[in-house]
Amino acid sequence: MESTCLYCEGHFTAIRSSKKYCSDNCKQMAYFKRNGLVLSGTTEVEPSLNVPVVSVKPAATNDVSVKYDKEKNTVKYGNEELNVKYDKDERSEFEFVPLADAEEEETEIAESNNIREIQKETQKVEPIKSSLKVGQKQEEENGPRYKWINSKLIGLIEKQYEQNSGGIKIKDPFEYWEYEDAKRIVWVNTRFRCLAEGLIKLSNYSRIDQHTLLCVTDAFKRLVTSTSFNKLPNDYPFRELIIELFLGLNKMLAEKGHLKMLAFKLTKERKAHLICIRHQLMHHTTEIKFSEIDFIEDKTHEGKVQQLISGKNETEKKSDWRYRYEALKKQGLLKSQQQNKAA
Amino acid sequence: MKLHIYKTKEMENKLIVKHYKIPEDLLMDILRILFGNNIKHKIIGIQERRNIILLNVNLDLNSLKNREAKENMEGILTDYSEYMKGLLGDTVLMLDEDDEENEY
Repeated sequence: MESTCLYCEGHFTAIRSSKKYCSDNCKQMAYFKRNGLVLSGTTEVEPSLNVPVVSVKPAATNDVSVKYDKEKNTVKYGNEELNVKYDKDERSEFEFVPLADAEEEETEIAESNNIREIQKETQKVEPIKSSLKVGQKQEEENGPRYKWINSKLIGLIEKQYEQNSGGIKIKDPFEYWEYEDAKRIVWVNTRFRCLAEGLIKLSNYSRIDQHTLLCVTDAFKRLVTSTSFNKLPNDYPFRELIIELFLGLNKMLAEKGHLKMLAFKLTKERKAHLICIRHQLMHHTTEIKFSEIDFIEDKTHEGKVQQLISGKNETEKKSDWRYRYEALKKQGLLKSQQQNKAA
Repeated sequence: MKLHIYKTKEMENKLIVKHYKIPEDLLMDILRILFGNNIKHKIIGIQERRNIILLNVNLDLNSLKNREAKENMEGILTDYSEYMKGLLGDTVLMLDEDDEENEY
């Protein structure tokens, strides 16, 4: 039976007399059209989706032609012309008055009823506050997840902690090493903590003066050349680092020593390493200010006796920075720099 | 249809301004958070000697992203303060609203 599709107006061969649409696609699109819905990117039925025309006619058919007239809003069913009730408020409702329609229409109406019910439910007016809350929740649930940003420096510090943890060596040197070694380690640790703190602080400053750099380098030199440092056990964890720092400072002093003010910066890795070590030492080593600490080792018993006899407190005198500055002057360190500057 | 959003009084109270002192070491990390989440901020001062900047950050605590960004920033600053304990002097990196900065 030849028939015309109510949606695309194409001719097709219908098996049932009541078939109105050439394909399921047209049926769905007609439903969307009635409801004022258009699929994104499509205005018309895509031709590729059309069901191909069935050329084989069935043996027994009730040939009745069905045609929808848009202008008159009527459907021509065989020889009869049927009015179509069209409710503007409820657009999805079509009723064919005399004809008890076949399954197609029933299922279509049932579908549309279900959708309408859902729409009605969702369109219920809610108080503004609650709707905002819902909106906010949806935004929180559906929005892209927050990307947590980690600090590079803190990451490096934590990495250093994992790799290079001093553990019991720093926590309790007297338990790990022999008494004499442990005594030396404590002496070196106290001074290294002070110097490490000094370096970290200086690296945070935008500029430091030449005198400060000179004093720090001198302190490192005293530490590295001390007897205690040279007698440290081989598995002392910070020996290489202290020597590296001393060499670096010396190099810097040689290159930039002629400048009155200079920028002192540490690489992120070096800084993280220093912060990590200082953080470990912080809990197990006494804190002494740089201006109060001395790098002169404890004298032997005989030396102490001699000092008592002479009555001079050399340790106090030598810890004074003015004394050290004068000593450096005497060594000709400052003189040569002044000459460089003048040149 | 454009949805009008009305802010209740409760929501307005959650729009806050936080003051942070950001050391040079963390500056890039904090700026990454602020730019990445479109958070309004303003540099209101610098402490040249210590390489620290004072930052005002406008946060909307109704927004999950803003809350998480705040946690992220404060987490980084707290970790840094912990590792630098005693080295930053009296510098507090997260200031209260009443705190005033006279050094800048």
